Amino acid sequence: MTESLSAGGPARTAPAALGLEHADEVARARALLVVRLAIGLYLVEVLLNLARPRIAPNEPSLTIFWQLPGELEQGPLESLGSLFAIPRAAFWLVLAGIAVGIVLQIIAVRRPPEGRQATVLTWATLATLVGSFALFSLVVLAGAPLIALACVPSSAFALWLVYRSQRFAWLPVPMLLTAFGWGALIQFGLGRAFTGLAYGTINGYLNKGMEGGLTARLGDSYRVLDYTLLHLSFVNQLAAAIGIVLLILMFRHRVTDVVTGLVIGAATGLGYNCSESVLFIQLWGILGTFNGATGGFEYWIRQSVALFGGQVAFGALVGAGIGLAAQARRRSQRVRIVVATLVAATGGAVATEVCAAWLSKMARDHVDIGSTLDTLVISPSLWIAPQVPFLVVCVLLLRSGLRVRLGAARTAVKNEAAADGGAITEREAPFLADPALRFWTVVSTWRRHGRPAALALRRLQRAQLELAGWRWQQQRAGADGTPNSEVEGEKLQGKVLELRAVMHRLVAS
Amino acid sequence: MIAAAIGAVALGASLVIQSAGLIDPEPPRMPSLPSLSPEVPNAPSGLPTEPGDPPSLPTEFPSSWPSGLPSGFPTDLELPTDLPSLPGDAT
Repeated sequence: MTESLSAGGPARTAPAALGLEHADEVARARALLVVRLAIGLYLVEVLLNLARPRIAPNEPSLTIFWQLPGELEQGPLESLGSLFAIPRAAFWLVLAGIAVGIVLQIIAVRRPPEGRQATVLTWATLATLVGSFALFSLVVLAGAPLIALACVPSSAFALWLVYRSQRFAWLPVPMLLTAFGWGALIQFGLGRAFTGLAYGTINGYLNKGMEGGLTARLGDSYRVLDYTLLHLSFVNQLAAAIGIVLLILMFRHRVTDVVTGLVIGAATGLGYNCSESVLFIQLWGILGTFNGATGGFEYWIRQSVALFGGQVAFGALVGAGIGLAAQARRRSQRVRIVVATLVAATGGAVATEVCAAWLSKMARDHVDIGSTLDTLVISPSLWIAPQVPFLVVCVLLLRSGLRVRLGAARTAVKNEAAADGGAITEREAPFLADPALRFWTVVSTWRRHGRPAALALRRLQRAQLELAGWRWQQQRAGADGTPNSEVEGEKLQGKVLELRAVMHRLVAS
Repeated sequence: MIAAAIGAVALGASLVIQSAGLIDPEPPRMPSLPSLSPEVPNAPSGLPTEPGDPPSLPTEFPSSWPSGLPSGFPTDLELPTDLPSLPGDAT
């Protein structure tokens, strides 16, 4: 910042600094608004549950406090109950977090709206408001630490693939890890917290007790599950969208486009998928006594063959929609895109459960259930089949987004070479803009000068592309009227020059 | 928008499947009670259809008591007269 002050002079940088502060204020206000809306919806869920019709005498005020009587809590039912029960401590902690968050907001209102203190207060408020929902997920993960550990390698591999799918203007690894953490802890916790309450509320309205006999009661129970699934699917997409918006606001100096949204959304989905896998592997391990399914089969479906299905695909879809909306000029257009994306992802999530179950039921008479063919091919195919259209849309969005980025990379590299800063030369520009040529230069360097020189060249190219990506972001920010900091550009330029010196040294030796 | 259309169709299809109960597990089969129809199919013929006096039962009791009974054998049913009454009526 000091160098830019000396280069541009106070008359030019003071408005820029004011603009930066204003942009920060706007971002913080948006982040708070999004989280307040989420908390407001949660409190509505609590109130609806409190006001539900009672179907049994002596029901607790909230259905999440309901417990199985006496000996029914023993054996498999106890395990099932602990999997689906909402921990009381987590519920009270969420309420405590909301109370602390409100206090922090009151304190923030009395302080100046700009400056470091305001920023810290805002992020502390956000952390207390939504952070406590993580306890719902932690209870599940802590209940099966070995299963959770087993899910780490596959999730890490998928996260690496997601990271590698970017071609230019890479999102930093900490951003992807934050997205993964949001999905695994907050999104999964929000889904459980909201749907745990919603299940009791829907049951109160739809369940007629023993009226109409056992068959009617079973029918009521199935309808309750149907509506609960619909609710859970919507809440999951909403929670993913909240996380993606918060991350984009947090890393707002990065490029925000379709690829950004897709990558963050997929990382969020991977986190959610990890926690959900732990729950389902446990669940099917318990139910295996009754229906023959096993935890291993769930691991195969959720952490292997269909790792990019389910919430990963729908999270990516939601993220792509938010990335597109961020580029839209008009507010109405942004709202339309986000709503359309939520409809798409919710519909896909419901169809994944319902249509896959229906297809499986249809195929049951023609397939040897539990056979090798069924386990390895048929069941995974039936589960993925309803998701195929959404996966295709995600791939097409990624392809078009990468094409846009490739074009932008060519322009940005040329601009950086023309800027004469020494980071990218005119001779390097054509190689940098073409992935195939970049790879060819690395292989040639390996053959002529050995592995260390090739790796140094690869790091240099990467740093040069990061610098060009920053230049692209600067141009976009200028077009949007959003000021940006020069500090990062200077750091990137220094890094390139340093790596170039290392490269020269290795080649010379 | 294409994704939204696909999502809406998928959602609609799912709701139809759910509301039609196509994925509901089959209800447990309860053991049925035997029917109470008046005529049981394949029932053996010749069974009595309405209650009546069994043919082998005696229709008349003996009118004279056997002779040669031991002395003191009661020949008349004399009930005791000092049976206790119902509780609370002991006075």
